[in-house]
Amino acid sequence: MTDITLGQFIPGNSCIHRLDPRTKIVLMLVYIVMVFLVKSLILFSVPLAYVLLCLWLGQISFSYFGKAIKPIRFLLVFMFLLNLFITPGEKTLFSWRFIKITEEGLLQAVFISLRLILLVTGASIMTLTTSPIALTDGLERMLSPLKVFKFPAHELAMMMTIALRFIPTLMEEADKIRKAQMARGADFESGNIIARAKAMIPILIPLFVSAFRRADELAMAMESRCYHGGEGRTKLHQLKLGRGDLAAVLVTMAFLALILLVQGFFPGLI
Amino acid sequence: MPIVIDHLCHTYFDGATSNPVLKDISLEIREGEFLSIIGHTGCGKTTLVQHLNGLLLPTSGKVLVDGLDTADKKLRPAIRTLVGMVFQYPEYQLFADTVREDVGFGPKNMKLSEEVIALRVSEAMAMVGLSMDKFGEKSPFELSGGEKRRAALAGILAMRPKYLVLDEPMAGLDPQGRQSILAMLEKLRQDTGCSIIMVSHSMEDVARHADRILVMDHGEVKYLDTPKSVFSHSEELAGMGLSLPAPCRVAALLRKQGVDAPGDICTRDDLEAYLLRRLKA
Repeated sequence: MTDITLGQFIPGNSCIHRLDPRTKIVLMLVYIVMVFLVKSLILFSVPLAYVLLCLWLGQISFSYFGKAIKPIRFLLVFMFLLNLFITPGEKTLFSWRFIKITEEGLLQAVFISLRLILLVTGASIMTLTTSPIALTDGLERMLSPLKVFKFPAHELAMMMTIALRFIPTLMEEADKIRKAQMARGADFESGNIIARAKAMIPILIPLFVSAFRRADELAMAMESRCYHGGEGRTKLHQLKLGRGDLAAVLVTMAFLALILLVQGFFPGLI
Repeated sequence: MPIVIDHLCHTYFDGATSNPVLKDISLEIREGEFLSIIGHTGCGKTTLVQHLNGLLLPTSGKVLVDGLDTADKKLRPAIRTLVGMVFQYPEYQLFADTVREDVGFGPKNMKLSEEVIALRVSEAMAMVGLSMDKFGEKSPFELSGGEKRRAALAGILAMRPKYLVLDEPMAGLDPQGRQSILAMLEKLRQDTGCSIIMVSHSMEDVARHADRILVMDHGEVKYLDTPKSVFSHSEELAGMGLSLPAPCRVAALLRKQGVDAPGDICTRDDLEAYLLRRLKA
């Protein structure tokens, strides 16, 4: 379980860590747009350079690049093969009976794989350098203009914070229940898929019961301390945009502009 | 045959850091004895007892249950039948539709026949004082806290373990609940001759019921002896953050006042007998 990089946070004090969470969320969206704008193989080096720059500035080991890709490796292979075989095209590179690989198909498959890799690694940089609390704080602030339309921005952020907070607790609880049932001779490792799914029932039911109990107790504890939603609530940590945020936006815009310029005005270069 | 723990070490690995919890533990748990394990929080008691039925495996060293090595995967079902394990707050493991089904979960995993399961379930429920007629078809989630605890305990007893391991079985119960669990354990031991291994923080209960006490400190065995001799090391125990049973402390205070109370008083009965003798003389 410790190998999952997406959503993991590495505490630190680099210039990327210190950025306002709102900046990071917006820049990640810009980055995603950037990845989808790229229409040539060579230009994929631009978002790649951007990711590597962020990793370096965030003082994150480059090995995280590989770790981020590991959980999606099967999806990557699947997407690659799917696009390789089903994309229609003119120039046939290889054909055998009903299997046909075209140049367009190969190119499409490579594009899709590169995009997936870049998207996952880019998105994990944001979660690697932003604590979940800061992330939900940023989201709350960004969504708060929608409160005019009765959008529950604060409640949504609070729900996310609580959910994140309880993931380790519930994992620990699940482990404890699993051990208790194993002590009663439960077997989670043998049998076919249906038998294994059935074997999970003695874990899942107590886990749900305890999750509901915890939710109930937490709600009670919050209410007894007069929690009544976000209205009139102030924050201990005020979010402030600084010079670093401006610099980050400018750098990102420069990368985006590079792609647009090259693709728009100098298509001959690529 | 006993449970033999031979040079057991266990280390938790958490990413880059490693945390040695058990350091070279060797001991023997005898058949039919009541062994209590005490020690401050985080000294490795829970880690140790989880080795007794192979839920955790030694980093180095060996655990042999009646000669069966817990490291051997094929022997594990047999070991888990021999060693019953009651976790802290066992009521959180209840899951079935009815109490009867939940208590029968262990025997069912042992692949016993329906008739034998039914027999063991009613036997185990009687042992913990839950009547089959009243509780058998109830949902375990409808029971009160104490009843849930007893139902969960019955789930282990129905497997008829030869060694019963309990990790703080009385935590969170009222004095009456504690007494009824302890009385039940004593009766169980007399009736079936099983060994009881109990982790506990209540020194009074430990002094009164245990044949031997295992004192752990920072993953090492400090003492393994009868209550009387373990509790004679009052200063060392205090240094480990452990208190003495109340009767021991009373006797120590009396000695301080110049009364010649003997050093081997550690249960209420001992103290009472001594005081009566003194008053009569």
